[in-house]
Amino acid sequence: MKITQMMKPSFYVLLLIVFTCSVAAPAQPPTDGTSASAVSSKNGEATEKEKKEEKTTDKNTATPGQDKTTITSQTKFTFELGGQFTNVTGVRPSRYEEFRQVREGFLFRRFRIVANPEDSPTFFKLIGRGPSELDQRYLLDFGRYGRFRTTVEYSGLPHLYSAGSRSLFGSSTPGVLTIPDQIQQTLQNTASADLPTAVRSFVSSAPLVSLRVKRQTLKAEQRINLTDHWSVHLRYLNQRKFGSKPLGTGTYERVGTANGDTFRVLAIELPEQVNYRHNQFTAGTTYAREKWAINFDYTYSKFDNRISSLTFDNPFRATDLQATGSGGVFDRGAFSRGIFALAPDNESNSFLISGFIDLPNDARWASAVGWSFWRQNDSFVPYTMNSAIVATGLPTGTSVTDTKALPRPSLEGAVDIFTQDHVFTTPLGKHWTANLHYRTYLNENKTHEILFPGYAAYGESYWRTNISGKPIENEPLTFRRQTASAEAIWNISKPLDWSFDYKWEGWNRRHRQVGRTNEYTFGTELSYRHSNALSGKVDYHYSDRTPQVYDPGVLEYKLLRMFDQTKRLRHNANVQWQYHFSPEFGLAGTFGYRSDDFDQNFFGLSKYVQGGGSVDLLYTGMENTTLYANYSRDRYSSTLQQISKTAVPFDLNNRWNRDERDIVDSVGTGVTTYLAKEKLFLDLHYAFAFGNTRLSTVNPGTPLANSVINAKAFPFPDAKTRFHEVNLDLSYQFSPNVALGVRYLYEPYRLNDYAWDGLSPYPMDAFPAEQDGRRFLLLDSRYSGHNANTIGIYLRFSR
Amino acid sequence: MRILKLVFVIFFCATAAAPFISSKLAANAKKEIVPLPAQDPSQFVGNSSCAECHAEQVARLAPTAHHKAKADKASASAQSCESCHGGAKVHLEFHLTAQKLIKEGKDAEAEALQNDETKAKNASMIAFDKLTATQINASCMQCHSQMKEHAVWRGNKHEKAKLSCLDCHSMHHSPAAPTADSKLFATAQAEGKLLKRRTEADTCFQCHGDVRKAQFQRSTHLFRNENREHQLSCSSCHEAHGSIGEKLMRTGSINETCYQCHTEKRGPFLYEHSPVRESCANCHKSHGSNNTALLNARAPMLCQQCHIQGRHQTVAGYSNSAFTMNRSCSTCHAAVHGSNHPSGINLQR
Repeated sequence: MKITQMMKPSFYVLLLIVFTCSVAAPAQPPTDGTSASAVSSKNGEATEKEKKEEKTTDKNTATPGQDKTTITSQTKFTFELGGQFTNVTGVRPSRYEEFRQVREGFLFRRFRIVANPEDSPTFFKLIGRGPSELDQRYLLDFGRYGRFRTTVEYSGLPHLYSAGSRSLFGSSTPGVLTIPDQIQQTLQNTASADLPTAVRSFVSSAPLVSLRVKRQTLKAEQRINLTDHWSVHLRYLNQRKFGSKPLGTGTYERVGTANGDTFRVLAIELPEQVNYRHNQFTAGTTYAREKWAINFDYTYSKFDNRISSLTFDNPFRATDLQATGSGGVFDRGAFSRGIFALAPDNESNSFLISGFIDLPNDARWASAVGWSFWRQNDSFVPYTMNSAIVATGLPTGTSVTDTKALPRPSLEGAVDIFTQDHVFTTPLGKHWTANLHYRTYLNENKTHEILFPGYAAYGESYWRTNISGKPIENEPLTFRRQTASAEAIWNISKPLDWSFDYKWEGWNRRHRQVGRTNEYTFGTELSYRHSNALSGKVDYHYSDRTPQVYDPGVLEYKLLRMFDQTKRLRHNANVQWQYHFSPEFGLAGTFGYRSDDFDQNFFGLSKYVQGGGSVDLLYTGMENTTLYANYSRDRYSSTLQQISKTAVPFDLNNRWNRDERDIVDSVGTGVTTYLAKEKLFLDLHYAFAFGNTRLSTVNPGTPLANSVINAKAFPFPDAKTRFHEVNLDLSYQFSPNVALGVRYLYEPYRLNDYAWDGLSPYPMDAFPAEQDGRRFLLLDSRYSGHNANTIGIYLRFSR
Repeated sequence: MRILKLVFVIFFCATAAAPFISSKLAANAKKEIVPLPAQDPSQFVGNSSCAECHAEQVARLAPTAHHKAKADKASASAQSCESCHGGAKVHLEFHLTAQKLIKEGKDAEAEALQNDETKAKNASMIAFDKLTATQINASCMQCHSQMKEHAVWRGNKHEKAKLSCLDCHSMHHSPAAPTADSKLFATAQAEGKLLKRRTEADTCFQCHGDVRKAQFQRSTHLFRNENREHQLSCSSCHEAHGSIGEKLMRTGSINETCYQCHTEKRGPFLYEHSPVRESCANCHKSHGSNNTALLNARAPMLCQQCHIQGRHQTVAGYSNSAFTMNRSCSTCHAAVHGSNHPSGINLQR
């Protein structure tokens, strides 16, 4: 059955190819005026008579509908068939196929069917790679240059989260995850001290599952030139996404101990079922003259989630129970069945009008104005499925598990987007150019503000009517972002430009801490370009962002400042250059530095620095010979100022600061060449990347005794990744039509990550002793290092 | 700050007003920008004549759109080679005369003719390696100005960097051209675009070398199959010729670009996470990251950049804590992109 399923796509692909071949079979020998003349030129100078004849031929071929060569007469085929063997070792090696499938056994590697007669404006191509693999891809492209073009593309993209996860959950109905009643009852009735043994027993016999989402995308595009100036285009996109991925749910309880407060942690990780559809249709038209053009686009987009909610059994509870609240017995997460609201269906209608006009004195004005209307009206799920919760403020005669208890049955969510973008560019005299740019992006959320009487808190086990005194209410975010910039470019000499620019960016927000911010940026850039031999640029920008008023609200610490709204000073510098020693040999490099300083009088992110550089060496020598080498280093660092809460909230002794530093080094080198006169072809590449994340934490003061126990700074190990890749393709051309090739891929990958290394489906033993994780059940969805060898052999047929 | 505002307003107004008060200067500039000779049909000789000496170049051009489109066109663009390189009548006569002289044994006269700078200059064709980027682009725009993306080429970052069409495209030597050796199997994204490099990503990496490393990072959007072919291309998100969005995004904002594939995050939701709605880039590095899920920083540190309040997330913690391991904060706050659950105010449902 499995083999049959796997063969199905291959069968259809083969059928399509056979069909294409039969359609594109040669009908007549190729006639190619240009090539013929090219050949004749080898024999010497053409006579005037011959030239006249050739010119006549040219004129004939220039007449539409009188092509001497047809689409079928110059069809070329290439197929690659072979076999492949893969050996992957490692504890959890799923990363090797995280976003691809490396198939074993018989392999239809790729094909290409192209009909491209030289003196006909028509063309046709069908290209495919990896038929029947999860990452297969096809492109069908045909048309008539200047008249119409049809493109259809299909691609698959898997995302393997993990192979070898363990799950107690089963599902017979989409959107419903169940656990055998016996497990729920056993775990509910087991004393806390004996819980680990019981859970381990069930987990060890749970089936292994793979968590993978597959994405399939079909795109079709049609462009038609109705006249020399007027064209229409149609686009259709269909995306399917299905499979399963990890989804967590959990809560916590704070516990006082002699050594300080600690936590009981409760979590359940679920294999969320995914079944998405996205359909998008665009229709547009463009009318363009030499000096002006106008374009109109309409796009309709519909997202459909076929599993709108996920109900799931709680492995630790067979019957519902209400928790006693924050001051009572620790009994949170006490529902027997929980419910998730998954991504709701939504749709959007978008209109875009754009165009440009060339003004006198070689100035140009280009504008685009767009409106989008996003709507979402999925039915709400109930507050909870925990019938033991005693809720207040509900309409008479309703229960907390009933959707009738909700103030509204659905959101009637409505967001209107308005965008406008205007560019004016003009020469200013002989040596100056000016660019003016204005842009607005308005996201106006017209969704109702709904006041709820409360919500099911603490793991769906307690009715909470406010959070820090704030009622339970949604706050639809509305924002408008505006940017205006002016730039003057001084052409000092033919190769040298010096530009100055000034930019203002303003944000207006509703329902955020800052209602308005203004940011002013001044920058300059020096660029040099001497033919194609040497080019480079250096730029520097300084920005100053200032919030008008920062209102921290009641939900966050009053001395916290969020980095996306607070005061920020930014320095940004970049260097880029390219130098070609000869037409074949080039060297290029980049260097960038960006520093963001946030208001260090407050807590939160206080500094962010990003720097990096790269060097590229490229040699493109003889025909089909390329040699390259590159190195890059990037470094990111951020500094946090933080504070831990105590029984008397936020004593400054409980401050802790953390630096995080990320480095990634990568090296790549490769050669593509013929080793023996168009016979032996070599394609060899090597890549290496090393990533390292280092954390360092300090307590500037001495944490108070009544703090949470881990308010103190503890060392974290580095998180490291090491990646190597050797990719070899060696082929020998036996005849003009047949080649035999060998492919080899070697990929060792190492991952040291403290967040995953000690993980297991039931990881309580990995937690520190004072942290109670007896009701912490995961899927163990992760990957670790691997060593992978893939070797394949293939035959290539071409005609 | 007021001074900065004042400078901005003065600068903006001065720039806007300048073209209207200096039209004479601007007129001079116009001459600089379009120096290409006008297309004169009487000077055209046809491709077959070009092929007599430049057989390889003509053969390489023949299967491409730049040759094939001529069959449907009239006048200038029907000439293929000469559409870009100018009419070759004088060029042809000059070289035929020189060859004739050599054939007749009049080497000295032939040499004298070839050394006549004026005649040689008049006979020269437009050579693109001698043109400025503006000149090259003006030549291409003779036919390509109708594409709506090109409307905003002027004034965009690539134009400002003095890039010409030929920095990314190659008319005669594209490894992704239909003429290319099929062994190289140009990727689908590069097909038909006559790119200078085998793939679209390699073309962009010529200048954006710093992005290349993203394909090897722990999480990446530059997915590759075992043949080193990319599943997504740069043009999936960016429009290199110009766009109305920032960073040459294909849509009006970063988020709308992300929603093209991640439509489930578009909402609107009952409870939204405001920074998520404003920009995905607040938390994600779009090309690649050392962290899972393209995150800017490791969780819980990423969340701690903006959150302190609460009785659990404020701790420095240790590496084996339940709050640090697995998916950290999102183990419980799984609905960080928005929740449509009436009890989802803390983004847990």
